[in-house]
Amino acid sequence: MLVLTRKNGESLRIGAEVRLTVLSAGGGQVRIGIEAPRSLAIHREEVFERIEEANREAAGA
Amino acid sequence: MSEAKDVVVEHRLGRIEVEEADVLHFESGLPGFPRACRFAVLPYDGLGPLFWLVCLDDAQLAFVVVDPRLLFPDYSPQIEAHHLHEVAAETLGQAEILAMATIRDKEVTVNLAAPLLMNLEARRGVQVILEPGEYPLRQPLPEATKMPAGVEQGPVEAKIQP
Repeated sequence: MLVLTRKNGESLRIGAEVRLTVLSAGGGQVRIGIEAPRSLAIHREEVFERIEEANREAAGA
Repeated sequence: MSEAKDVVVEHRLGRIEVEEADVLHFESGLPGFPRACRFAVLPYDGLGPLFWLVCLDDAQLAFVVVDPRLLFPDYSPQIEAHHLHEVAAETLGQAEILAMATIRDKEVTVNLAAPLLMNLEARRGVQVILEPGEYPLRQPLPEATKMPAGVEQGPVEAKIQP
């Protein structure tokens, strides 16, 4: 995992088309803004993992 | 002499032969299967309502899918414009919705939380992850649903009918 430190308001650029901005952090949580092409699906990790697990069950895996 | 088809896969379900033009493309793969991109839709048993969604990239991978509105007529998932764009559809009318069925211990549940959106004409598909809580991930079948014989074999042991 690549680990970087950003201050509030600072950003990361992922590939050419994805920009991730730390909007505010504190109280054990961080607000993140993401600018990305609409074709790129962005989900909370736990939501995505639930679908992954359901798909694996459906595949009989 | 029958003509050879473009695509021939020795799948665990049996030999799959389809024309390239019939291949369904899930460009982003599926959650849990990011490299599963090329699929064929085949009848499950010669009868509705189930179909096989067979992966042409992975000879072990296949899913059982069903038209969820046959089982749940009020099912109306929130499909956004960018989902339609993913499958090169301009309107919802140009797309089909299917749902993954999970068959385990002879119990069938349907994934209504992440339906498959498909544009059959453009041969493109995407799995849409709905807002959590909107619909269940493992919805049991309605009472008195008639399923084809042998459905309890599920995706692991079954073979496609030639």
